Amino acid sequence: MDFEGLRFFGFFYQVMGIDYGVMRKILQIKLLMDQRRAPSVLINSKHKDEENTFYKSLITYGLMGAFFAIIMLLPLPMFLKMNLIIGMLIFMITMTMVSDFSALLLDTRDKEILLAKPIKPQTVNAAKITRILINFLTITFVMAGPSLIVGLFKYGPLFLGIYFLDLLLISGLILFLTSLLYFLMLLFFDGDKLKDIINYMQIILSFVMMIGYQFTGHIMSYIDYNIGFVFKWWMYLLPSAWFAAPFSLILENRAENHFLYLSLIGVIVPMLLLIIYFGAVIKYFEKNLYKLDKVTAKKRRTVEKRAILYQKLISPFIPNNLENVFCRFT
Amino acid sequence: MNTEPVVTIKDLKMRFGSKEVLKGINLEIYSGQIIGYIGPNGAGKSTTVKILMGLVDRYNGQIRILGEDISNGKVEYKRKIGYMPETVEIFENLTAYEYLTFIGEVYGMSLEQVNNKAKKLMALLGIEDVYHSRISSYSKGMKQKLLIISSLIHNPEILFLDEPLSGLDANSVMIVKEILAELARLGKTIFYSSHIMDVVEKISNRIILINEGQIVADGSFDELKEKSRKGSLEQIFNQLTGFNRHKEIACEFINELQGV
Repeated sequence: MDFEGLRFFGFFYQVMGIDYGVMRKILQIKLLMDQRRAPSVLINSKHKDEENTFYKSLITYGLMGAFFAIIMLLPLPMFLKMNLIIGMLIFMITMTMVSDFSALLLDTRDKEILLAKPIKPQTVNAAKITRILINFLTITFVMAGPSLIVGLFKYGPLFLGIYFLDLLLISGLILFLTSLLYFLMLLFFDGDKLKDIINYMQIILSFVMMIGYQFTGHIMSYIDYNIGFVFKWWMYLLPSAWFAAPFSLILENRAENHFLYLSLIGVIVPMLLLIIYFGAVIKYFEKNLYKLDKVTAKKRRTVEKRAILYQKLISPFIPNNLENVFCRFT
Repeated sequence: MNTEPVVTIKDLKMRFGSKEVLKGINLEIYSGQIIGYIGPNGAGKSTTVKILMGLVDRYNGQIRILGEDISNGKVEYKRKIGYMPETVEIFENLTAYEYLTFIGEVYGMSLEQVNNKAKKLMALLGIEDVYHSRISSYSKGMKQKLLIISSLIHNPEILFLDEPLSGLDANSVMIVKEILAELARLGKTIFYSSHIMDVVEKISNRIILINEGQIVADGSFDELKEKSRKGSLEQIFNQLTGFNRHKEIACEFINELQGV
């Protein structure tokens, strides 16, 4: 993979005491591995071991993006429309982050190999963060790309500008939320549980995708094109509303107070969260990560008891021992 | 031979939570030594090696490698060290070519140089035909050979190996044993951990036995034999770790199996 653009940032890395050449090599290797990893949107497909599964998943994300672009064309109020699109974007990206990027965020095992080499820990961390950012921004912009282009043609370059800035802020917010989610889970659960939860996220993701596809065809006929838009206080709680507000505020010239406040929240909150994240959370986060590798030897007596009880309950129905076992583990 | 120790460990202590894993290790290692580091599971062997490699911090005590205190945060000393981890699990999606050239380049070798070297070393160990295959398709022995190559490719002065011979067939074991012996003759230092006592007995010229975070024996096999008056390293191991219940445990195990 080529990332010439990074050369421009080389200087910044050097200033931060990071060995840019080595970081680039680590990044190259990691991105190569990412391309070969089967992402969870494609987890059911058969070509698991093939090359370029990453690009194939990008096509899937692109299709989703095309769906968002269709919404863009509908004659709905701007605020509602953007709310819908951004809400879906946030949901999809968060889910992808949680299910696919857990491998990147929580990758502590590579330290044993990398840090045994003459590489500074800062360089390894910088490579890790850059890798996450590259993957994450790629997915974000592939998903948002189609609606971005459609919007550009329909509403002009100002739209593009707002949308672009919005996306950056949204990325920050999602990065924070995902990390926070992991952080909380690591605080309360051990590594096994966390892996379970990541699996649940993957299941939810594929479930939503499935339903989403079913709906795509039908949704156009259900939409009532005459819904008016009424502002409600609870919209302040919707992140998608924060990011949708600037469109109404600037593009439609609706200088209403709530649009202004919403837009401000949308700018301030992600910024604040990112500052908190890089300032404080990330340190505790790394400290808790070691839990992932540790095998916790908790007493799981309740699990055993429950299994025995379950077996007793079910044995009248399934007397065959072998079938019984399969039933218990499904 | 150089009389200055290559590695000096002074009063090394380490605790994980409330558990004290290392309770004061003192050790001096000289160049040209092949040291077998043995001990029961969980005795603190790999923790020691990880601390030496700078992978674990918050330890107490002083460690000097090649004359430099490793707690100063510099990573340059690692250039002269080869470390063989337990697995390459995370890099399994790569081919041997990609992995080895990456490792070599990190050590500052040029791509061409490391590529040639890697190819030849792979050929010598009989795995050249999988040079461009994914590591995930390798057998256990092939992975082990790859790990050995990756830890040696930059021609280090000191080698830390974790179970270097596990999974290898008898012929490969002989090759690797010979390589280690030859490296030691060239003045390199080899520090390895193993559970195969016969191997340790034969190839080490110094054996360090660690139990519950402390060194309980240190010396050549002959010295250990003399001290403990036992015939094999296995028996010495059992004696020094205070383990003599193997028969009882085996009996109980069989009883439990047959009781169902």
